[in-house]
Amino acid sequence: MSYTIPIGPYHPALEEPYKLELECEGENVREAHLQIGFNFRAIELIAQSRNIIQNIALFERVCGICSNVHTLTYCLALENLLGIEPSLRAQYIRVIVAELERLHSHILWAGAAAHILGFQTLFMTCFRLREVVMDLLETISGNRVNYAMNAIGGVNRDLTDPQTIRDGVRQIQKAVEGQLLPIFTNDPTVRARCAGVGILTKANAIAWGAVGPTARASGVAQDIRQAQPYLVYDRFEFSVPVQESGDVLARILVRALEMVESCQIIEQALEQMPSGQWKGQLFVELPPGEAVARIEAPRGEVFYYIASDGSEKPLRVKVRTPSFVNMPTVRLMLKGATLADAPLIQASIDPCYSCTDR
Amino acid sequence: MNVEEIRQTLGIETPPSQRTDGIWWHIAGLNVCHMAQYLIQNEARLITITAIPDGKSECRLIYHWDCQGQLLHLSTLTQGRKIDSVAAICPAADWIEREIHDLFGVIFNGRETSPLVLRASDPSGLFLANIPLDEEGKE
Repeated sequence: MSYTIPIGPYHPALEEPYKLELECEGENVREAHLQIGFNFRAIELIAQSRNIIQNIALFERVCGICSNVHTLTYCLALENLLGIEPSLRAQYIRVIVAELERLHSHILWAGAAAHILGFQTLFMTCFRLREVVMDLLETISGNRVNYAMNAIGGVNRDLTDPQTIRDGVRQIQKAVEGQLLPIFTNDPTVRARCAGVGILTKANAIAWGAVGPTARASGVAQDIRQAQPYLVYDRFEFSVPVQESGDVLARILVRALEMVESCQIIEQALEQMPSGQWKGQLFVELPPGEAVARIEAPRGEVFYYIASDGSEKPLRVKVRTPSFVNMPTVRLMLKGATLADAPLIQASIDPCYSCTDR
Repeated sequence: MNVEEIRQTLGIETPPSQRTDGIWWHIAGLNVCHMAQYLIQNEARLITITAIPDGKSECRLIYHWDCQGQLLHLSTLTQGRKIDSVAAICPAADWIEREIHDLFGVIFNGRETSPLVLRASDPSGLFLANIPLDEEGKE
């Protein structure tokens, strides 16, 4: 018997407002329709009415979890347009905050995935670990969510206590390698729920332009930190975890392995970070022209385009978030899946509706 | 990325602007379907399309591509606020084109453009609030 199950846009099982309509044949999902836009804020349009400094605070609010990556990409695009480069110390600080934010995002997601799996012990383990990262980010920035670290040409705060960061990161790496990875790799419950579920083929990942862990779990080996290094990422040794199976388990493993790599990047950055200037510069106006910047955010590539007519306000800012390109692939993952797996499959791309409805 | 091959394949006469943030090319009357077919065959990935109002009646569309790690930005103008859709060639363009239709009222020829970020009853062209459009996208 065929039937359609509407879920959302406001539903207790969904973290943010979107609508999913599942056409089912018995227990199997035959087709899925996604609707977004319920929380559309027109941030790109608002940016045209504010000056370039005010916009840093605006873009910090594109995403509630990965706030730093948006101000970082925005500032990188502005710096490309201005033809300036931040000091080395500022670039290292940016890398450390960006990797801590990746750790935070991946740990939060791992906890959410554990919750959906019904694995409450693992959920509590992840959220306890999340507190460690949030404490580190608070130590650096004074904030636990919107860090306000990026300025044009530098950062707003120096990193004054590297040993605390080093100790915290080692604690996280130990927990990821000793607890999370063994559970995600070997636990029979996790494997039963995730292996072979919600497959995105490599061909579909490429065709639909998937990015980040979602693409890398389908065998697409692209990470902007290595493909087109920005800041000082070309000074670090790290590998890009790639899985070929394209299922939920692969997406879990890619993120878990990336956490270890992030810890190692932070260790190297703390070791190499030179002393010196870190503050940004005050620019009130932009030269006429256009520029772009992109970075590897926790969910994948973030891309900013900025156009200026030479005034203090941008003519146009375009924000392309990773969830905007990853989310359409959920339809492909859901087709043929069982209804009970639908919540886990849609969560497996780590969707951010705040970013998508920017 | 072979710039000369791209220039010859797409029949571009003007030279590109090569910068640290990629190769920029503005091409009047660019055949976007030909562009998409060629670049997809060469394993390029469509990052996004940026729409920028050009005067009151047209939009400049910039197609941002990742060509094996290098950025390529190809731009062209709409004609009568219309341009061919590349969604059939490049599925990644589906949501992008629908959002541009919602926000800038651009009509993408060869496809149905259901609302993405707007609701079905909303008029398209939200970012052109001072330039009301009819259903055909005309002022």
